[in-house]
Amino acid sequence: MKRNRYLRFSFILALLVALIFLFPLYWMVATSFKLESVTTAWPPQVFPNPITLDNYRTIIGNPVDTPVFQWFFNSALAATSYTLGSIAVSALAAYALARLRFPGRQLYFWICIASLVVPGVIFLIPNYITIDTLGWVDRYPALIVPGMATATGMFLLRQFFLSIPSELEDSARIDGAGRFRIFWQIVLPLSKPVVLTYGLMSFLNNWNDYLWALIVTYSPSMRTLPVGLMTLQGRYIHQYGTMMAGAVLTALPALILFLLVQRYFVKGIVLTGIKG
Amino acid sequence: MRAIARPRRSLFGDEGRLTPYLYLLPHAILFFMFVIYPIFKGFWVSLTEWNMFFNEGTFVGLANYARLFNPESIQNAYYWQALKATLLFVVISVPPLVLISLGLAVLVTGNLPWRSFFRTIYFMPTALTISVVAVMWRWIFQGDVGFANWILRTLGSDAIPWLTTQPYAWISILIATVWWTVGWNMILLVSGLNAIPHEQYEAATIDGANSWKSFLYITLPNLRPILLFIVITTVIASFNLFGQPQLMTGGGPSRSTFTVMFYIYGEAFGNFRMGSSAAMSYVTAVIMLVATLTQARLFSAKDQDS
Repeated sequence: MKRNRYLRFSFILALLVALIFLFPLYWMVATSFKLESVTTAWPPQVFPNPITLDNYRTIIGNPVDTPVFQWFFNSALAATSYTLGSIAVSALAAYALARLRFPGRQLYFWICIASLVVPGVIFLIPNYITIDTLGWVDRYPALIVPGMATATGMFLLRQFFLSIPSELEDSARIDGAGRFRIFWQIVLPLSKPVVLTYGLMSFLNNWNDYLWALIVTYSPSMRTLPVGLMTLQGRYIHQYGTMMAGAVLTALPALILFLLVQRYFVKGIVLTGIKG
Repeated sequence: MRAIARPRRSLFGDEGRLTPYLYLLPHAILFFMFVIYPIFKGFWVSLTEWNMFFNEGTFVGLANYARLFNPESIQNAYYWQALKATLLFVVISVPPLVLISLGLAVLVTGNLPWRSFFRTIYFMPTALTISVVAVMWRWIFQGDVGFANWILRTLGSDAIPWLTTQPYAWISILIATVWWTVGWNMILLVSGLNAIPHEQYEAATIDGANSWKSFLYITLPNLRPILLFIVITTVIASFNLFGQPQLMTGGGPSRSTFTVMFYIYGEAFGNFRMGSSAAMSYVTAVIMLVATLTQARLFSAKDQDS
């Protein structure tokens, strides 16, 4: 009896919190479909009436100053390349550190771990200077390469590789498989949950990155979606409908990806017990 | 571990002596270039007057640091003001960020119907980028026709200029931050809660403990390691506050939400004083490191008490 009442109370509470969490998203979407003249109407329209696509047309219809599709392409290209590269680089290193014996193995592992205590703030300026020296400012490699080799990725994958019984690899060796083939055809497929979790984390980190992308790009056609949205804010500061249409276009791909994979993602976070 | 004698290994090939390094090489090169080298390079830059145009610096010794401690300089005034603003945000944001995530985690574990649906909803905002979050909340807190003021007026009170007066500018940033990030900590705590053995609760119930007591004496102690991790990462995240003030308040009113990260960014990429900015990032890094180690120590000291 008491248990039931507690559950009912919890459920109502959870529902209220969920509504509060969803409301800002709803308000963004609703505003984006309102005529610009109604967005600032008083009292505010809770449901857009009439529903219009004007704001989306405004944003999409200015490919010189606000090339939204180009931004989308930049974000997608950067996040995808970054994710694949980061997985490849981390997995190879993790395999060497977990399975191969060589001098310096422990040292390299501990240098990576120790680097985790260094606060991120100090990397901003020297890494910008490195990018400048390489001539990468305002070019794709600046958005892709710098954060690729992480201590986190190496650590996560190494721990998982260590948990794979080495008998599997030994029998493959007896069958004549080479090192790289074992890595590629046995170890990596067995590590799918961790690889996917780390991949998703990397993708969202890169897709949502703001400060770094803000610094290393300047031309409108090289911006990513998060930074592009900021330039929209400069341009349409008092046109709330247009701003919200831009926000919706920026948020949508990440939200769709998130909803498609979140079940898996949550499981992976639980499995690896870590945070971005 | 295999005790097979290997006579004379070649350099390359499957069992080559250099082969392991080939696996390590891509990671090592990038890790050195963008993680190890910048630690030293940044320190060098902080000792120079850096010329962004020629991409080189003139050595000036500790001048950039001295300026931070010289009460006459503008950097001194702005940096410590920014640090105070940042610390204020850490103090007001960490308790709600930790406690609300704990509350939500407890709410969505156990037998609650639709619990994975609720988890998804609470966790969803973390998939958004800061500029979306800021644009969205800026609109809700808009002074004339924003939704927050509509509610206030409907309830019969006066409108509040949320983003342009204090303490409301901090409250707006805090609400946006809680909404955006609380789901991360919640998911971690949910995994911590699910890992607590059920027998412990059963034993407590047999001993006559009510649910508040079980929470206090079973749930919390079991969650301690994960709570330590959450407190430390939340402090660091709050210390790094940048996008919310930059995009929601512009650092105002009168620089009150101008945080350290915002100032370091502005000094380097607005005022083009890389050396000075690098010096600030080193001072900030030392403060953050000390704060992190102190928290870790505090938590482990409590461990020894109990």
